[in-house]
Amino acid sequence: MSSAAPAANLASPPSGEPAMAAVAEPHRLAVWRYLRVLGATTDEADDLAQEAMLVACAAPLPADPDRARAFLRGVARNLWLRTRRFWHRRREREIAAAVEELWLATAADDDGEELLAALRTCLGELAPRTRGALELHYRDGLGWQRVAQQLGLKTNGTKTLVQRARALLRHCIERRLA
Amino acid sequence: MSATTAAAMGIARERQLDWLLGEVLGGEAVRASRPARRRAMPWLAAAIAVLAAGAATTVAVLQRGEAGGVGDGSAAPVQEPAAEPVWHECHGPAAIADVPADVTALRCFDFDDAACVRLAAFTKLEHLDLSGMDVDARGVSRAPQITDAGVRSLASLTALRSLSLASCHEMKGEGLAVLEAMPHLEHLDLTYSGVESPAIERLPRLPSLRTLVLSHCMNFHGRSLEAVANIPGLRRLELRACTTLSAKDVLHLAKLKELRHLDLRDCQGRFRGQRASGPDGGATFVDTDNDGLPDKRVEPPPPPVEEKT
Repeated sequence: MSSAAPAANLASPPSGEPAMAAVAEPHRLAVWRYLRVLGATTDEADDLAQEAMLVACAAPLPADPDRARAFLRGVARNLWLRTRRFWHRRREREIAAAVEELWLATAADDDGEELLAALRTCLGELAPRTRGALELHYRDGLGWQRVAQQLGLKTNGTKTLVQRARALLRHCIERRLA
Repeated sequence: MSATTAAAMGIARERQLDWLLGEVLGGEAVRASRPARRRAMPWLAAAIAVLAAGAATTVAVLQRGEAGGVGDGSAAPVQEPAAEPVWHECHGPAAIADVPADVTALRCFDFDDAACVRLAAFTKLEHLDLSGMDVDARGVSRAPQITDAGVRSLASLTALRSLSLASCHEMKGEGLAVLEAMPHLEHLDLTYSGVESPAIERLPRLPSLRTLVLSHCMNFHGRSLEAVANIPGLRRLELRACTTLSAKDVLHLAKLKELRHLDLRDCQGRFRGQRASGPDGGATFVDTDNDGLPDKRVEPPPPPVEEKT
């Protein structure tokens, strides 16, 4: 499913569903992305986003969209922390605070659409082999060892290649958002 | 920004980039198109769970409460698929001559005991699949003609990590003793094989076994699962369509602390306490409802009692 059409992925609640669900549903994608940045896997993000929607059904959601989003982010953050093991929670709480700060600075206005657009542009600036390595891993789901085999590199060489690519992408995105 | 916060921010940035790359390159996005609904009543959920537990066909997936989180902020993905070996295929015993000497993953078709003897030379093999069946000119495929003698001839393959003897109906299991000298063997597939109880009861001697597939094997008694429960480190156990098992037999598996996946689909228990291979202690099984499956045990007539004079 492409992120190019996120709105199509959002289910509109059937008639008869509580009004609160109708208010919360448009924020599902933003909540899902926020959970991914918190560190959730795609499956965890699916489940926790649904949990957050259920909480929104039961609790009065602020009418203001910004406040509603902030409320749902808080719910998602707490649900995420609850899934972490007790001895990881303190560290995850610190990371979650950093994620919230980062999200407000870069993604809160448009649910991350500008970030995604910037990354698409920046990926075009990468060398074909570097981009190929990222595609093999993120698109085709290959582990780094298989990626290395496909590219004829050693595993460590591939990791170095990807780390450099990630650093380049981070700087490129920051430059474009500045 | 304190040092801790800076570190946390670094991890947050890495995770943000992971999400972005996943969504742009991997095409992942929110899959949940489920509208939010209110939770069912807890008592209703409990009632459904109790009913489900009594269902005849069961799939049980045991998962430990492993959070498996992304705790280090590294670039590695959360779920990295296990690397699939690059298989070399050998279609028929005659094709062995074309197999490279240093092959590590070999899938064999239509093999028999004589062909297994020739496999002993490939000592670098790590993955061996002997279950292949090609279709002949008439559109018919025949099960591999591998018996325990063929399995015994694999003794030199001490580097094996996975072995599939699926569909080897003639293999009763005595030959599996050679696997005890294979310290790296993690995966053993005996689907549709003729493996019997004594062989199953020796499996705890395999030091590294992690995955055991006994689906559609009906020549072993359910009580053999007591021995399976003693396999240290077993993580995946597939017992699909093992109709000789009873619920009591399966209870032993609770001892497997490392078990992540247990497949009990289609274990209706129709032949529980029996062995479908035929006579058990002189008993025979007859088909009373003409569905092609023997369903009634018939004990042999008692021996005549000698009268004392």
